[in-house]
Amino acid sequence: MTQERMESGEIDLNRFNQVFFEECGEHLAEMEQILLSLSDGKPDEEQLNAVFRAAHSIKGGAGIFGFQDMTVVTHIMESLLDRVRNHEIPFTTAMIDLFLEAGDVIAMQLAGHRDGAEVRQEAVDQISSKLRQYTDVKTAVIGTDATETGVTTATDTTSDSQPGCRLFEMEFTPDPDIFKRGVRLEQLFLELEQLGELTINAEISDFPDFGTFDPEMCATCWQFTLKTAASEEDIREIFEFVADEDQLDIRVVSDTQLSDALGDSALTVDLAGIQAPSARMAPLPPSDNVTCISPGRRASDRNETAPGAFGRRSGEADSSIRVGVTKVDQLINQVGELVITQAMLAQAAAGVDPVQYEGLHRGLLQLERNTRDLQQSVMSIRLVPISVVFNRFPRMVRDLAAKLGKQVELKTFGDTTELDKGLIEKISDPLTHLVRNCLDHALELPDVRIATGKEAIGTIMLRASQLGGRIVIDVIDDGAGLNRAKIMGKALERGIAVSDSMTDDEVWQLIFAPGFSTADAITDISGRGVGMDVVLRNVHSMGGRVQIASESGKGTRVTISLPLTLAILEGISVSVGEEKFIFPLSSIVESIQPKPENLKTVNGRQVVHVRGEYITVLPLYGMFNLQTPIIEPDKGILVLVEVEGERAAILVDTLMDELQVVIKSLEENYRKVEGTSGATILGDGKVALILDVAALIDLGKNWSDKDAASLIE
Amino acid sequence: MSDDMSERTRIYLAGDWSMDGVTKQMPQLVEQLTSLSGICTDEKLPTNAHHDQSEVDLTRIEKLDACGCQLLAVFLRALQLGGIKPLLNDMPDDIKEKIQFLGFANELELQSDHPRKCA
Amino acid sequence: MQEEQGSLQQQTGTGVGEYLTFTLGSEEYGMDILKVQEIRGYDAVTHIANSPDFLKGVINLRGVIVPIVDMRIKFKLGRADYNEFTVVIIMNVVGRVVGMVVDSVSDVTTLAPEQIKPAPEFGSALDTKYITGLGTVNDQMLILVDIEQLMSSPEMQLMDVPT
Repeated sequence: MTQERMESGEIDLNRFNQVFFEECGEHLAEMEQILLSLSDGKPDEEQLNAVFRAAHSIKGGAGIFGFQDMTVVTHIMESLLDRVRNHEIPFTTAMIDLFLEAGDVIAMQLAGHRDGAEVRQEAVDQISSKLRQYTDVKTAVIGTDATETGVTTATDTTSDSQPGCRLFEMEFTPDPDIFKRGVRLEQLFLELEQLGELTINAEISDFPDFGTFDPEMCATCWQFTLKTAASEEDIREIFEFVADEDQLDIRVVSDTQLSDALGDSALTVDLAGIQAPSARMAPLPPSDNVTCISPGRRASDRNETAPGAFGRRSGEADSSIRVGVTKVDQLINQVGELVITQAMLAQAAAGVDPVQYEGLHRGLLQLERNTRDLQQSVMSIRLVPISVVFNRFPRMVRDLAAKLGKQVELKTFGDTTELDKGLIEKISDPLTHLVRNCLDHALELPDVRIATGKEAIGTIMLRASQLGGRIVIDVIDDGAGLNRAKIMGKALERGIAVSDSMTDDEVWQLIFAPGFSTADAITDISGRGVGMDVVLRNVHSMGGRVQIASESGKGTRVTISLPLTLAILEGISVSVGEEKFIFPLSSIVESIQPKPENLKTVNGRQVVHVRGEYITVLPLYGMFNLQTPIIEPDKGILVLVEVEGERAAILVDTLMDELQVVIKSLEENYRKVEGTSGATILGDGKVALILDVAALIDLGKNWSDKDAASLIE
Repeated sequence: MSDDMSERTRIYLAGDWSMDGVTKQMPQLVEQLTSLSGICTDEKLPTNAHHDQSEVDLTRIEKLDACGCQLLAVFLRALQLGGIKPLLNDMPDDIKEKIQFLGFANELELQSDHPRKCA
Repeated sequence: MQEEQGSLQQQTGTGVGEYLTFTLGSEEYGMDILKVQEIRGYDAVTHIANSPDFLKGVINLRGVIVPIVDMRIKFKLGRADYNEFTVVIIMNVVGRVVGMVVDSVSDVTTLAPEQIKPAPEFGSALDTKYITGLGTVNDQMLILVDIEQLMSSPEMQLMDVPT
C-alpha cells in the first residue's frame, strides 16, 4: 500500500517536473530570442526586463523543484542583469555572447535533469566566474551573495521606506498534490520574504480523520500579508510553477487602509522571535478599498501549443490550458472511431431507397459534415507553429557563420504555419542538417561572392506554407548551387550508374544515395559525415517527400513536403483476392497496366520495362501468400513505388479508392507484421493492413526464385 | 485548567518529518493514538470526557517541512479529539523557527495553554 | 451442494474460482472468468500474411484491432467450421485483447480448491504446463487452462519476441 502510493507519487513528481522543464525551455528560448534580436545593438528597458524575468523564473522554478545546481548560474546572471537594468553597470555588446553562453549552460543543466544528459561542471564554473567578473568589477557589495545558491537577493525591491509600498493580502490554496510534486514551500516563502515584510499563517480548515489521513496530501492553505514595493506580477512570478490562477488569490489593500492596518504591530512577524499572537491574522475589514486584481500572466504561461514564450510579450490575454498529449491523442483516436462509424453508416445507407428515406440520408450527410469538422478541430489541437523550430536557427546561423568567416542573413517566412507536434519534433533534425549544409557548403565566402558579382552577405531563407493537405517547407540559399559534374563524378566513384542524358532533377537525386555524404563531392569544405540520405530517410519516415531545385551560381532550393499529421495517412486502397491493402500515397509514383511485351524475365525474376527502365515486379499475392486468380502482371495492376531511390512494381488485382485512413497499431494486441507499418479500419468495418513499401522492397530482395517456384505448386 | 492530577505522558516524535518521511511516520502515530486514548481513529469521541495531558517531544525530529508541520497539526488535533491535551514544551529553536516560518504557529498553538476551540 | 459451497467459500476466501467452460472437440475446458471480456460470434477476419494457420487474422473490435486464434486448429480438435454458431471468446491477457475461437461455450462454474485435482501427465491436446488442474462438475471432467500462460507462450506466436 505504502509502496504503491510512493510509486504513484514518483510518477506525479515526474509529471510536474515535466511542466517545469517545458516552461524552463520556453524561458530559455525567449531569452535567446531577445538576445539575438539585439544583434549588436543595445537592449531597451523592456527587453532587459524580459531577459531578467526569464532568468528569474528559471531560478525560482529550479529552487522550488530542488534543482539547486540550476540556480547558481541563473542567480549570478540575474544579479548582473538587475544591475544593468538599474544602470549600475553599463551594458556592453560582449554581454550578449556571455548571456547566450550562460543560457547554453543552463540548457545543459536542464537536459541533465530531464534526459540524464552529461553536464560539464567546468562549463558551469567557467560561465559563473565570467559572469561574476562583471558583477564584481563595479562594486564590492555583492560579495558573498553571488556565490550563494538558491536564495534570492532581489535588489532593493524590499525597502519598506519606499513610498510605493503596498500591502498585499494573499491566500494560497495549493493543489493537494503539492507535496508529492516535491515543491519546497520553504524556498517559496523565502523568496516572498525577499520582497518585503511578510507574515505567514497556515490554516487547516477541514481537519481530516487521522485514521484515513494521507500525510502526503496537502490539506493546508496559507494566508500571507506582504508589504512590498513589488508588483502583483512579481508575486505571481514566485508562484509561477506552484499555483494555478484559482489557487492564488491576491488582493491589494489600498494605501489609506495600509496605514491603519500597519498600526497593528502584529502584522509583522519577527522570525527570530517567538509566539506570534494568534490574532495577528485578524482579517482586514472588507471594503471598497480592497481591490481585487485579476489573474495575471499565468494564463499565457500555461500555453503549450502557442509559440509559447515568443508570442507573449506583455501579458497578452490569450487564454489557454495545458493538456497532456495523451489526452489529446485519446480524443483523436475517439474521433477516428467516429469517422469510421460514420463511414460504415453511410455505406449501410447506400442501399436504402433515397426517396423513401430522404430524412435518413439528409441526416447522414449532416453527420458526415459534422464528423469531418470535428475531426479537423480535434486534429488542430496537436498543431504547433513551425516557429518553434525556426527559432533555433538564428543562433545556429550566427555561430556557424562566425566560425566559417561567412556573412549570412537568415530570413524566415510563414512562421505561423502549423503542423503536428510529433512532426515538429521530427522535422527539426533534417532542417538543421539542411541549414548547416547551406552555411557549410552552399554559401560562398564574402570575397568569392563579390568576385562573382553577388552581395557579400549571403541569404538563407526558410519558408513554410500549407498547400492543400500538406505542409511545404523550403530551405533556399543564394549560394553556388549544386555542381552537376562533381555529383556525377562522385556517383561514378561510388559505383552508381549515371549517364549524361540524365536530367538535372535526376542528378540531384543522386545526393540522396546512401554513402553519398562527404562534402568534398560537392564543395571543397570538409563535411561532417551526415548525409542527405539521412535527411531523406527522416522525412520519409514522416510520410514526407524531398525535392531539390538548383541553378549553378544562383543557389539551391530544397523542398520538404509533409502530411499535416501523423495520425492520418493518405493512401490508395488496393485489393488482392479477398483482401484489401493500403499503399501510402507518398510512396507511389504511378500505376500501370503493363502490356505483355513490356514484361521480361531477368535471372528468373520478372521485370517490367517502363520508360527505358527495368523495374522488378513483386507480386503481393506471392509475398503475402494470398489466393487470387490474378497472378499474371498483365492481368492486374502494377503499382510503381519508390522509396529512398529504390523502385519496385508491385502487382495487385485492382486499385480501389484514394482515401484518408486513421493509422492503428497492430502491435497493441498482436505483433509486427512484416511488410506492413500498421493497419486501419475501412468504411465497411474491416481491417486493412497498411503497406510499408520500404520493407516490401527489402522483402522482395530476399524473395528468391525458390519462393516464386513454391508459389506455383 | 486543573489537570495536575491527571496522568501525564510523553510522546516522542522522531526522525524524518519531511515529505519523504511522513508516510513512514503514520503507523507509529496511529499506534500512539490508540494506545494513549484507546480511541478508534474512525470515530470522533466527544472531547470533554477527561483531560489527560501529554507532552509532545519534538527534539528528536531530524527533518521538518511544511508537509511534516501539517501532519503534526493533524496529529495533535487527533490527540485532542481523543481527549488528550498535547503540550509542546521545550521545543528546539530550529524546529520552532521552522514551524513559525511556515505559518503553523497558530495551528500548533505554540503557546498552547488555552484549550483549542472545536471546529 | 449449495450449503457446502457456502461454507467452503468462507473457509478458503480466495480459493474459490469461477470458470468459463467451453468445448473443443469432445473435451471440456475451463478458464478464469476474470480474463473474459466478452463472447461474440465469428466475424469476417482480415488475414495476416505468413502467419500460422491457427491465427485466423485480425478483426475490428470497436476500433481496436484484435487477433483471432482458432484453438480447434491449434490443437487439432473438432472441425474448423465457421458459421453463425461459431463462438469467439474475447479475453484480456497480459494487457492485450485476444480472441479465441472454440466449438461452444457452455457455462460459468464455481469450483472450490477441493474440487480441483492436479493434472496428471496425460494425453490431452494441451501441454500440461498450461493446465492448472482438473475439475469435476456433475461427473464431467473439466480441464482448467492457464489461459494467460498459454496465450503469451511463444508457440502461440501472438507477441513480438524480444530480440
